[in-house]
Amino acid sequence: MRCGKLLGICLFAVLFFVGITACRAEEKENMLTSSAFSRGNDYYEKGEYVKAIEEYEEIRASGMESGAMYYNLGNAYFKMGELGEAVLNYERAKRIMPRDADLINNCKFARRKIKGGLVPEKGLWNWRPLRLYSENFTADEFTWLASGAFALVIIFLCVMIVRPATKRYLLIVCLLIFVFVLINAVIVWHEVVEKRASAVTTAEKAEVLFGPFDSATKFFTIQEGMKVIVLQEKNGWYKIKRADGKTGWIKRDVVEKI
Amino acid sequence: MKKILVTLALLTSFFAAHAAGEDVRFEAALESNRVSIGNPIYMYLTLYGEKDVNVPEMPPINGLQIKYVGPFTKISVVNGRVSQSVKYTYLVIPRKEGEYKIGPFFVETRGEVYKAEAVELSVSRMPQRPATVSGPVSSAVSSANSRTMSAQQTQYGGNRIFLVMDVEKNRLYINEVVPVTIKVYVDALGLKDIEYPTYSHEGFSVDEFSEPERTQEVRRGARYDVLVFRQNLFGIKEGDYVIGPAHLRCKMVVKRAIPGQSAISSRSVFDDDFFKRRFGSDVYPVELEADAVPITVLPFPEEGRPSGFQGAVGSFGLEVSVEPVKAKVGDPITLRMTVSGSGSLDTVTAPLFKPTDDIKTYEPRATKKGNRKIYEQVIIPKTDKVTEIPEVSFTFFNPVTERYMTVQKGPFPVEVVKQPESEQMVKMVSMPGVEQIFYPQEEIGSDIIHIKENAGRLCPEGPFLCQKPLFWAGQFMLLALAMGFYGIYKRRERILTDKGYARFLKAPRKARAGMARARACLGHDNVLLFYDAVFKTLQEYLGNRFNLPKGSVTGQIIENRLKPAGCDERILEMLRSVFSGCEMARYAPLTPGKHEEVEMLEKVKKIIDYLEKTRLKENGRRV
Repeated sequence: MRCGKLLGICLFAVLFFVGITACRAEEKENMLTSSAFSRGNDYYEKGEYVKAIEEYEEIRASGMESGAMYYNLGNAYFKMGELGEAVLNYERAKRIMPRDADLINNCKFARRKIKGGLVPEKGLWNWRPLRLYSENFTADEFTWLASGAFALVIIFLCVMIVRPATKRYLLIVCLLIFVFVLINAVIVWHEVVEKRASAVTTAEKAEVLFGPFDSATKFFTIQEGMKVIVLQEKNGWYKIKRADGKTGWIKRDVVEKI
Repeated sequence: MKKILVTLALLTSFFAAHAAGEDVRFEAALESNRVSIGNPIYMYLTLYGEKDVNVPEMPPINGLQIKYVGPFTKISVVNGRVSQSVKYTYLVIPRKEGEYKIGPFFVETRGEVYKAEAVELSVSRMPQRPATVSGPVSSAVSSANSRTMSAQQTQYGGNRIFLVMDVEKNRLYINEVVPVTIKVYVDALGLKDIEYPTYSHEGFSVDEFSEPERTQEVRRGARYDVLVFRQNLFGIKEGDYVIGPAHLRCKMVVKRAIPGQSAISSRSVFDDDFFKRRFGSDVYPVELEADAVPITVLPFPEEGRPSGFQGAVGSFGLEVSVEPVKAKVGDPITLRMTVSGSGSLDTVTAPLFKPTDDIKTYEPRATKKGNRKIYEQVIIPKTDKVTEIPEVSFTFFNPVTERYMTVQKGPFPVEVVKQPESEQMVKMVSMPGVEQIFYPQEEIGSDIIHIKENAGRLCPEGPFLCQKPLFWAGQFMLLALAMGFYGIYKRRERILTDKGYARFLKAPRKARAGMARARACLGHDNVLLFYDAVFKTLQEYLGNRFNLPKGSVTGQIIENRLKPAGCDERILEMLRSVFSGCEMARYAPLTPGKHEEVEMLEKVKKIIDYLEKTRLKENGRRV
């Protein structure tokens, strides 16, 4: 009995020590990244955008990210005149803080600068109500929403079991919530798939070809900052799809995945 | 009345007496011996000296359609001599080209047969040209601006209906407008359902046909009713072209003769009233054709071609007005440029003027009014330095003089003043009774919004929440909890409603308590107490296990139920031994030892353990 108590105390001590160490390491990491962020901001305000970019990129290289970091990085690239990189980082920031008004404004502003204008998007995901809903939450927020709604369905089912008289009303409510869960699940799936496949053109202008080789016929052109979907990868080439549905092959270094 | 009747009888007998003395003869005649396909002519069979005969029969002739129109009887008295005749009118419509012989014809009257000689008709494909037409079409149109009638035919020998297409010029420049006139000539025939003429016009652009005009025209001494179609066309590409032949479809109405009236009416063929009263008329569809006309479209001469020439062809004038001539900076000034004259207005573009840096211009707006084309251009002076609107010029090619011409107007003086200070402000407050406050009109800049001061929540880049196994474990746990809740609830519900099930569930617990009681009595002097506890424990357990009244549980009943349920024979034997042992200890004066008691307790434990672990079948139901 005494031995068991001793073992328990030892285990608690080890866990406490590990926890404290981990917290301190994370705190230290956060301090480092925060200081890099502050330095980046200082450089930005002095107009030294290259240095600011280096600081922000350092945070990213450490494996940490935040919406504000991507936002500031996008701003610095925009000031440098690198529209493609600016849009790319704004898009990355949108995945973390989609409702940020400053970000929405800057992203729109940068997109207006795309040469030749934006290519009109096609398909179900461009349906305005769905787009407005899906653009206002992150994928994780949608997941929590779906999960919460699922829990609510289960609670209502339990209530129905205990109080069969409520079945008549709660069944309809459950069905509606379940539809909501499904919609959210589809949006999450789309966000996850899109994140894996979305990319932004970082080169000033790029020609999209009919095949993954240099001598292939030119099909269409994508401008810097234009968003595309990567469908396939082959020998240093991406098969991409433009917003209007046109597909073609492009060299891998011309676009960067979000 | 009697007097009138007597007079009429006398006159009739008088005419009959005199007529009887007249020679009877029968003659056939055609309106014309030469005709083109589709053009109808009349044929007359006239019997002189008689009038009471049957209508002569007309044999069918391949290539000709012959329709009887009606009779016309004529009686005349000259110097007391009475002559009478009856004329039978037929309409002959040629359908095929060739030479035809119609007749001879025979009539019988008063026992005598009279013969009319056959008539000859020559039917040609194209309308017959008069001898006066000068040469072939190509030679007739050789002169550049001479008024030639390519398909002009002053008279078509005997044709009552024909179509003529006129083109005013046969050599014209690109975009030069030339009117085309297509005329339908009709002589004493009725027409209905007249369609617009059609003709091929490759290399030309055409306007809409104007409303057809009705008129009368005398050609070679004959008066025709004429329906005139007019249309403008202009060449769009240089080269030699042929327009036509023109075709026109209509329906020809031929009135049947009624006694005392000629079959051929002299009234206007396009008079509707005439057709409204056309009792007894025949309708024939006809398609008229006019000759094709060759036209040469010339390119614009390169020589002397001004840089401002934009393709306008014709003879135009230019009028320009500026309104208002006094304006403030930023206020619109309208430059109204009116191009009018003869020629295609479709080829007229906006007159040119060179805007300066001080003025801002918008695309001119064009409107057409008759033979005028008006361009309205809005000009906005940017500064008060603007003193005039630059000169406006319009260049066109005159096909008559074959030269380019440029019309220039302006410059137009204007007075531009600065905006008053008050108008440069934006009114921000406007409430009745409150002094209006003006603020300077601010210029709104545009740029990206400044960077964020705080880094926000920095977290490691990782997968989405939905890609984490812990999240899915949580979801499944939630589902498992729900299912567990359902199971527990249903079990509780069954316990409350199913007494047998409730007893079945509490059987092992009660058995364990009974066994504890029996074990407590083990080794005591009072053996009866031990065996009583063992018996009651087993009895209670089996009663609960099989939902039987406690008192009814005996060794025999259990054997009767357990054996058919497939219970192990060894357990049954143990059960029998326990029951008999308890019976003997409780009712027989026998004192078993402690060893037997332990063995008994062990048997009961084994029986209970077996029955707890084994699911027996009773009446096909597992218990």
